[in-house]
Amino acid sequence: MQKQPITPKDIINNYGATFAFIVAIVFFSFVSRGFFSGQNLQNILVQSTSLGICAFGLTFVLIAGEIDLSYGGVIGLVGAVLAGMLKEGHSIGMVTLVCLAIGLGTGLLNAILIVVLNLPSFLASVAVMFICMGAERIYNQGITTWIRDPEVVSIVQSQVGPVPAGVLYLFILFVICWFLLTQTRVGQYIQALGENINAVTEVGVRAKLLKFMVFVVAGLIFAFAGYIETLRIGGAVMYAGKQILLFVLAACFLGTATFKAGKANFPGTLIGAFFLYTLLSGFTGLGMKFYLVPVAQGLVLIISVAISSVRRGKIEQVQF
Amino acid sequence: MSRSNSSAASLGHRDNGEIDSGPQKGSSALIRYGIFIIFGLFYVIVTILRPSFLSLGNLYDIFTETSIISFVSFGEAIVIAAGGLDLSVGNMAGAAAMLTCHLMSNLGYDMGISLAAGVGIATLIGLGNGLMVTRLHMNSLIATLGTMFVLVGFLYGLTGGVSVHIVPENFEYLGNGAFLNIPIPIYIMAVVFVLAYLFMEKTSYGRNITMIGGNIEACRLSGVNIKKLTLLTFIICGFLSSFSGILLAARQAVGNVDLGERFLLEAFIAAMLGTVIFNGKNIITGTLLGAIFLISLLNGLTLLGAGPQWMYLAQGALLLVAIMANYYSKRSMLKLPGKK
Repeated sequence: MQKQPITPKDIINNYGATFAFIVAIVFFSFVSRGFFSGQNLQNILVQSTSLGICAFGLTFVLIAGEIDLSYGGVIGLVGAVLAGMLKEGHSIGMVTLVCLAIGLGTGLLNAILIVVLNLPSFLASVAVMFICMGAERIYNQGITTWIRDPEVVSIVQSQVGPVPAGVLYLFILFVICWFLLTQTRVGQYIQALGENINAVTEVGVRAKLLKFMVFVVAGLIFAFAGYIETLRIGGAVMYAGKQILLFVLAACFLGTATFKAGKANFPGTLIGAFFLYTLLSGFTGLGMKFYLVPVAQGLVLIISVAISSVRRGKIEQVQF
Repeated sequence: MSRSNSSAASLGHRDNGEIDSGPQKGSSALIRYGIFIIFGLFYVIVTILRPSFLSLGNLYDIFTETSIISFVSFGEAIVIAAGGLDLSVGNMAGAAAMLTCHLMSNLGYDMGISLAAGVGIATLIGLGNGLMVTRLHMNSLIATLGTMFVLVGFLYGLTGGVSVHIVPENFEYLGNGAFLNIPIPIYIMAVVFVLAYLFMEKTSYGRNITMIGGNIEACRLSGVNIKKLTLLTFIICGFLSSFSGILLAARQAVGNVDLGERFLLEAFIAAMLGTVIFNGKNIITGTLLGAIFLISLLNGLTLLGAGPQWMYLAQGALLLVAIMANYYSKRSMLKLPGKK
């Protein structure tokens, strides 16, 4: 590959959203009192934990060249089962296993539909999402269940040194994902899956099996996100996954405009998740009307992705 | 590449043109009619258990509901046919409805002006979506997701999240009135259906749109104006979504912020069924049938006493059936190359 000199344009293309993020933080720090305080920054981190974790799962799938929206249902289902089983008096260890089993099950279901039966991932995962939402509704009868046990809740809400435990999980998972993807051979193959699946097969890797595993791992991560989300708010709200659905997508897509133009990547996703909540926090701190927050989030998403895709030169069709 | 295998591929696998369409095998017909058979059986069972399913009143209900979602489904189907996807349909419908209701009921504008404003804003948003996709080369999924966020803000900002209750009676007539005993939305749907059908099947625009979704490279080589047509699909989609939103507001006599929420999924399922039913051909008729299937399924389940929890399951299952039928009918028609 020919090495090209890096122009300022390239930098804006590749890091546009990162700059916007920094600008936003600086801006809010100056105009919004109390924005740049330890407590507030910590709140932003805490709020973005489950969103970020879930977005990591989606990022895995996006990197492998597919999409998986099933988290919109899995998160709610895991939350409902978690809160429901705790209420029935099961031990937390047992419940945790069941939650992971749900993630494994939905991940397998996705993998079978998409990799084995060759169905388009976007649609198949939306179908799985709705099946999970139905299952959630059947399980909890449409009632919000709260978790009363402070010990269980402390799994996420306690502090580890100065850092909230939930945030710690987020960063641990980030490091694991990032390491797996960029520093190991398997990770390189996963990246190659998204570029050209035939090339992966050519070098003697069982590409389909690899893709299968990606969906299963994503399912597990989604379940973990649901677990964290439920413990973070201390209860299972109806259709928690549906509420987070678009934000996770937005975080991942914002990430595509953060470090590598047009490619999903873990650091980008992490920044994307923080960015969305920074806007929320900053706008709220300024006393802006609440409905301006989604407007700002949408505009940031559009502008950053537009900057990184305008030079593409041709229309991109929906590929998943 | 023959037209027969074009648009069905749009959301699924890119088939990069390497298609060798042999004679159509029987299994594809089986799958296609399979959907009809499944629904036929479902109708028979529901009718036996709940004879009121086939009562005139219920049928009018089904068709009125179908009419309301049909517009947004046509729009989504046309966007999908050109290889795009519009996630903002529900919010565009909501924005059109809320703006119309707000202007008319809260600010006292004339009904005509309010309707024009509602339709106009959705069309403009569609134009915006189209420009982002064609000029800024954004992936339509991301562009319309961004639009969705912005529209959520718009919807809440318009009335501060408060529902608009008072709508003039002649506006309500649009949704609940009847002419010669047939509900008004059905007439509107019939007109739009015929126009959309003629546009997609009888004009070169429609044929080229279908071709873009099938094989964009072939279109580029044959000099089809891809940008113009893709832009057009998004504009049409915005324009048509406004009909669904406004008619739904008129039917329930209330404009509320989350009114359009249900449209995204319903339009999506109807449009997916639409591309399956006639093997990617004649998507407008297919989409109408898909909408009828979807609404009658939900209606039948409600009559059988199924709670809302089963609706999600039913819709998920229906979507799975649609994409499986889509995949297997394609595979039986052509040698499917490896997935992208």
